[in-house]
Amino acid sequence: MKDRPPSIFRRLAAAIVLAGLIAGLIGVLVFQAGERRELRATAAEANRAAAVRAAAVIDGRIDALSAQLRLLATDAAIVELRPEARSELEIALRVSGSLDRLTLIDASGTPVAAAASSELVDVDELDHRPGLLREMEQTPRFEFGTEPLMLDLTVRVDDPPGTPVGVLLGRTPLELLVQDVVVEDPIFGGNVLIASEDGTILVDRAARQMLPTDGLPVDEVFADDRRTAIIDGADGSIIVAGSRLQGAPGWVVVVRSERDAVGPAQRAAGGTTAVFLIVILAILAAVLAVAQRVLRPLRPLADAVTALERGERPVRANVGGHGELAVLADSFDRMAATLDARQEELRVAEGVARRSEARLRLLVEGIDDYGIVLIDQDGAILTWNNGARNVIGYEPHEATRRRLQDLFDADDPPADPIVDAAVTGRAEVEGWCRRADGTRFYARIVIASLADTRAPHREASTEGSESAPIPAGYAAIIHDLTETHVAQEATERALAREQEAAAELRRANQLKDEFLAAAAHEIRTPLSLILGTSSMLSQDDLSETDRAELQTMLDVQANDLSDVVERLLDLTRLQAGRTQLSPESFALRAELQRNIELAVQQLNEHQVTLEAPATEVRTDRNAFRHVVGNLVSNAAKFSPPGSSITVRGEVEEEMVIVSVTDEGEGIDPADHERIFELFQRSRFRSSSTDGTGVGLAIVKRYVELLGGDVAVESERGAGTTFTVRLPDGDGAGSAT
Amino acid sequence: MGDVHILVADDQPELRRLLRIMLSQPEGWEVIAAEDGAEAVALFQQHDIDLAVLDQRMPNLTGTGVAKVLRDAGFDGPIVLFSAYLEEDLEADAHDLGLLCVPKGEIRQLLDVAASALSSRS
Repeated sequence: MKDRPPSIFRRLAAAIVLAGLIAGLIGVLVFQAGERRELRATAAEANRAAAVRAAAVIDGRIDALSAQLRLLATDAAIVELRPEARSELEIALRVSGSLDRLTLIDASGTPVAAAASSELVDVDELDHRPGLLREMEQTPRFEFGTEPLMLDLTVRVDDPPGTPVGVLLGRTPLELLVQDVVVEDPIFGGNVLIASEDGTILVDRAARQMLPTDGLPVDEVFADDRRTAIIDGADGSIIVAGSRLQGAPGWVVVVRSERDAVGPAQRAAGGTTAVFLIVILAILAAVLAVAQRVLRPLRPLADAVTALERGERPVRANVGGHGELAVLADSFDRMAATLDARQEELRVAEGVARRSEARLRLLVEGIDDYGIVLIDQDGAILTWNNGARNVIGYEPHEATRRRLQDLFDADDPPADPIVDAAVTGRAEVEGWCRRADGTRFYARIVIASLADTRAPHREASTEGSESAPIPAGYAAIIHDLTETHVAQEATERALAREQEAAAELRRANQLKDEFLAAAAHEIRTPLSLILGTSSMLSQDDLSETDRAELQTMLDVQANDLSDVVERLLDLTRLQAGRTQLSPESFALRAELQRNIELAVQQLNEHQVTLEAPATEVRTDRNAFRHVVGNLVSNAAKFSPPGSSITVRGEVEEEMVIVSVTDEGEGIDPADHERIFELFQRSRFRSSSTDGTGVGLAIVKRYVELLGGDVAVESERGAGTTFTVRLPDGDGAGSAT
Repeated sequence: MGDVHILVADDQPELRRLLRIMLSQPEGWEVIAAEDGAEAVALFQQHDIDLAVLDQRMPNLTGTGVAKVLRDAGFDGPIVLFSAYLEEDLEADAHDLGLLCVPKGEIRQLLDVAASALSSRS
């Protein structure tokens, strides 16, 4: 589990604050240091100015003393070097107020007179100073003495001027020199001291405590032109400034502790700095506060995102307020809510799908009379349910990974239905197939392709067709339709038979109707002629010739009618199958002759020629008579009077062949078949009456009955030959 | 009434005879018989005919053929077509040419038909 993400903003804020503080601090320090330097410099300057003023004042006093001594040195008493000069010295001491001692020394260095302000001085006790005169020049000389802290003034006494006769020594306590030199500024403080050339403190007011124990570092202080320095004192830093005395070899030094000099100013600056810092802090605080407020939603939002990532549910940032982050947090909340909803939907859908799949599986497994097979996209079997096993006979382990068409060899393997299904989405095939155990069954296979719409599309194979997605697999359902198919085939066959029978019946019916109609007609015509003739005969006023003609006609018509009726009866008997054939042996030629004579009614001066051997033949005599008789009658009726009719007969290879040829109009080949049908006539036969429509039908029927055949050779205008072949022997009659 | 000349054409002799006898019965009716269509036309041209009775099936020219010739020649008297079979095209011709049809099965009516046709004409 990941930690909370680092709080960038907090760090940033902290960094800003820190940076601000550091910057502020540095600024303050720099500022303060600068200030301090400035203040120090200012203080040092003030010190120097004070030193210069003090020096000026002390120089003035020294000058004054010098002037006093010089003046004194011109006094007569002094000039004469008399011991009475002492009183003059004493007066001078009182007048000066600053001098402490005065001593007069003659040219040999012997003190002549001396006076001191605070004591009586014995001249004899004083040191001799031989050589002093020689050292002296005209200008007074000052020296700082250290025991006690005095300033020695030495003036040459000249008499006359330019001629030294003695030296006047004065001495003043340094304290008096510096007395009341106002350097103390009530605001800035400080002390003044006088130092010798080498730094020895000769007199200081209260300054000595402040100085370092090892004295004034002269080099440091008076090194540069400014004659100021800041040195470490006994009690902290001290600002030192000096000014050279003009009148004496020494320095006036003003000393102030830095604390005193700079302190107040520093404190003032410190106040400003504090204010400055406070302002900065205030700004920073304000910024922080605002940022905090604005960024307040950030932490919960970041937490919410992390929680969401980790998979916790539900997650809400739950941040109120306004501002962009609040809006962001709201959006996050809505998004999280949507996510939750979607997840729920997904979960539900998954549940549904799982249940559905389970049901489907149950269903598929439960079906044991249909094969339900899943096939992968290469055509190999993936699943094989109980139904498939029952229908086709292979166990699942035998079937999986094999191809469907390999498993049962179809009698007539159709094109691979899987290819069809891949292109069109669905394919159906039916056919006889073989099971695993070799038995045949009639299968109907429906294959549907299972398309994965995200799959890549195959290129459209023909222009205009849509490219189909390559299927992810196929599902095949296999029915065993053997029973149904066989039953269906049987039904179809039965139906066909029924239909055929019905058609036969209809045909037969139609034929019967035609037959009846034609028969009626055939009968009616001669009958009407008979009736007409007979009604004519009933008239009284007929001539004898007319009457005879009519009577003849009556006979003829009656015979015709009888003939027609006989033929019709023959035909019906034939058709009803009631004709019994009984083969007889007879001589061919003689029989033919007899049959020709029987047809004499129709013969009308025809020349009949018979060409046949006298061979014995064996067949049904009655049938033979009908056949030959009808053919000869036809020949006579359909050929012009006087034309010849040729009857030929022969026996060949156990067949009796009889042919009848006439010289009539002939029959168009298109009608060669039709003429054997009942009541059909060749259209081009001109004669209109008689029953020849029946004749050929009878011939055909008998011929068939005898197991033979009849053929016609004829063309229009070329005569006609009918040829009949009949089996010779007892085999006749085998046909039905 | 005057003489009525009837042209009869049939290729069957018996029928010819019968027709002749039948159609000669009425007073003043005279029958002129032909054996076939061609002869029928020839006889028509030779005689003045009041009525024609024509068998359909005849050699050389059928009954309707003869009728057409007669009509084209301007004969507008009754023509009876006498036929065993009355096929459909015959009926059309009969209508176009104004023929009376009598089937051979009803030969006894022939006399009546002829008589009424002649009387309605005159």
